[in-house]
Amino acid sequence: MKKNVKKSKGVKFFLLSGITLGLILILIFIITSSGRQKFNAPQKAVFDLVGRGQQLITSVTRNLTDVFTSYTSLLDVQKENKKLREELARFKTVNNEYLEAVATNVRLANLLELKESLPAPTLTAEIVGRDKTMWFRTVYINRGSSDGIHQGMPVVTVEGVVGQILNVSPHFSKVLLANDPTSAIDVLIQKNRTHGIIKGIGAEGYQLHYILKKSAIEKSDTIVTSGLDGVFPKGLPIGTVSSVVKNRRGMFQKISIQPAVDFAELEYLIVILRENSLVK
Amino acid sequence: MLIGCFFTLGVFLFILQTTVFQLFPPWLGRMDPLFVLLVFSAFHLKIFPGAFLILLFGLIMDIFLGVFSGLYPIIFLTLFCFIQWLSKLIIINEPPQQIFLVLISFMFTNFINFIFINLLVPENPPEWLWETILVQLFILAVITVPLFKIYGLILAKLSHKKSSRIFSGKKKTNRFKE
Repeated sequence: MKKNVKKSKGVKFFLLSGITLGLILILIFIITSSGRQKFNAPQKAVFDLVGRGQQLITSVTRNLTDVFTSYTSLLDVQKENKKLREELARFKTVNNEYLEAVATNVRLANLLELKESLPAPTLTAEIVGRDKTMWFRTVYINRGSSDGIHQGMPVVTVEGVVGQILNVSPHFSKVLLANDPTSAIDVLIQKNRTHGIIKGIGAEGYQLHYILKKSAIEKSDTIVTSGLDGVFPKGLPIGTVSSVVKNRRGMFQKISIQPAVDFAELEYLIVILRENSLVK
Repeated sequence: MLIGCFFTLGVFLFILQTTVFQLFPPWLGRMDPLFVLLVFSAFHLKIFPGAFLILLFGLIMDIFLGVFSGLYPIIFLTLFCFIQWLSKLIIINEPPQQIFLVLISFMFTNFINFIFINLLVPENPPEWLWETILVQLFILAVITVPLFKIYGLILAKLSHKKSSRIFSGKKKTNRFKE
């Protein structure tokens, strides 16, 4: 009797192992043949349901943090107020110069008869959760397909590029951060317009690929999007060069990039509602 | 009932881990009570209910974590087979064995994850981050024993077994896996 139970357990274990092995092979086949897939209806429903839980917990946590921060900030509010007034005065001057420059730009553009192109509309979203693993870099935002968001739309902050929309449900979306190892963006070195591709390397930022050794690039050079990948508009800040290594072998330089955005401090994001994204 | 309760608990832990726990500073590391729950379920539940629960968790993770569809159900099922195999070798259910089981399962899961990502993104292979992994292992080693006790208590309540004097301070007479 005992022997039969043991045998039955062994059969079940081998059956399960066989099923798992079969599924692994099927998964490898599906992923390598079809690439990234969209969510199906049950996945969207689960994403929405769990997303609501995340939103609730995030808002409670944020409110508690805000109360604490407000209390502590009261302690030196007068000093800060004075500092802010000084900064405001300085920025007013800078703003005047900026407006003057914009006016000049518009006048020159009209003179050159450039075609007017309106910027794409944007949507602000709040981060409600983050990927808990160390292998992937994704965040979840409280905007979805009902707000007009689609897969592949670029996500930015005022500092620069954050990533792109990976999956959507009606009220929530998953954003693939630009520093994820599976992310790649076509970029330009701002000063000499050399093209390259940045790939995410996790917490350390990005690596810039395919820059020839003869190309002049230095530490602190600014990297911007090229607009050629069909996802990000041209000229968005990506980051600055943090190190350049020229190995004796090979054609290309090894370049590390410090991201313009601080991925650990992200709270609110801007989704650029760009139509006709090339990413499928 | 049992599967439903463990599943709900797992989803709640998942929500906590993707929201509140993310506020902790990185040097402190991030607790992963859901992973301990996974290992506990795989170790204590019967083969098919256990595999079903693990598969459900895998499907949830698949929606939220990572980039490739279908990766997490497979990783979790593989982990389940691994723990089932290990449970044949580990017959004593005491804190040192529990910690060993959780830590080796964590290493196994990350190793499988690492291999899959290397296979699927060969042009940009991920880095094996020893520092992060060691911090995670340390935190798991600290939280495993209390969490195993809590999950054990829940399991005992749900399966209408006599509560196993978890908080009484007395040692159980049976040290072997039930």
